[in-house]
Amino acid sequence: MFNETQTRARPLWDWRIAGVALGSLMAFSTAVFKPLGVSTSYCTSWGMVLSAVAPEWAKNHPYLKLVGTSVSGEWMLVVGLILGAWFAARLSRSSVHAAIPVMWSERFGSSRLLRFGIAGLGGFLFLFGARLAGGCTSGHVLSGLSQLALSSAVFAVGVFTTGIFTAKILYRRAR
Amino acid sequence: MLALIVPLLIGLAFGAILQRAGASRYELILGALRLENLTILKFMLLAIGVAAVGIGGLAAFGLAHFAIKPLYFWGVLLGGLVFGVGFALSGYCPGTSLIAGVEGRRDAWATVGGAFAGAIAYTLAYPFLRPVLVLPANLGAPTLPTTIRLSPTLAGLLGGGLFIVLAFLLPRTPQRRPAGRGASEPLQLAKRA
Repeated sequence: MFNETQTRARPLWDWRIAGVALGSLMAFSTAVFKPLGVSTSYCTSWGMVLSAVAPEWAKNHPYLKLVGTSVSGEWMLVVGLILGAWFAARLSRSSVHAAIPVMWSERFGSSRLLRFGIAGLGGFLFLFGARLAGGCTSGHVLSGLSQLALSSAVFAVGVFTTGIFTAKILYRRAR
Repeated sequence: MLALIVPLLIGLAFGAILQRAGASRYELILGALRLENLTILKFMLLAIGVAAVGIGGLAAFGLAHFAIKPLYFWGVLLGGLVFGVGFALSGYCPGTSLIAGVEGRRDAWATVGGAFAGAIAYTLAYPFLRPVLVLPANLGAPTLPTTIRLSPTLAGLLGGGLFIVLAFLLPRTPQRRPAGRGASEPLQLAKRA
């Protein structure tokens, strides 16, 4: 369950190499497509399902009109993200069989129910928050800040305020 | 067709880079939010800086497809605050939870499930939230250059340069001596401060 480090796994990229690579990709994407973004596609996926189940309702829903109900470029980008990560993990032999992060289990024990429950709650909150703000770590923090957008600066301040606060509270007795 | 293949290829590179940077690892995200291991933060700042310089350069030739998100102050701020709690609880974000899932971190699939629930919850809540949080205090889509009346190219070069400098200035492990033993430890071992 905890074999996080595998002897044959390649080490992670140096942050400088990874940073230059991602920054170049972001600029390239802005030139040939548009700035990167992920969170909209969760709602677009719902749009696809709902337009099949209840076409009339989905067609007139104000939010589904915004995010779309069919395959878009942004949605394909997320498909690519999943495939790219899968290939990278296989080629670098860095795939793991882990149910619970080591840092978590050292603090909160090995209950899967607790970890999966909190991990699920976290997912609910970050997607709801991302849609309310109009973007996530990709669309707002990375793409937005690289375009020097003020709304993304407001979003980033919000994220790191409660993110740091929550992390400090979670691990307050661990130090 | 090309309009779908180009983003697919960009996504392939995006996922591979984030996986190789370790952005999908709970320990590195929580390490950053606990202010104990800022590697991922340095990576993000450098990427933002390099992209800002590149986008500034593209703008000089009219090649940048800007997509500036609107600033409806309360909705954006509240969204960020809610996002931060979810980010710290799960240790993942909308993109990296999918990456962590295909890497074999099963708790990340619980996060993806939660994210789909959050997506439908917001979709259903939107008609009610829109008049309260999205429409009021909407300041349009301001950027640093439009606010201080600088050319997008110059602002991109200066702002991007600032992000790059910040990325290098930020210590990787703030609570240890920079030249200490911990500074050169492999990331996976940095979980215990």
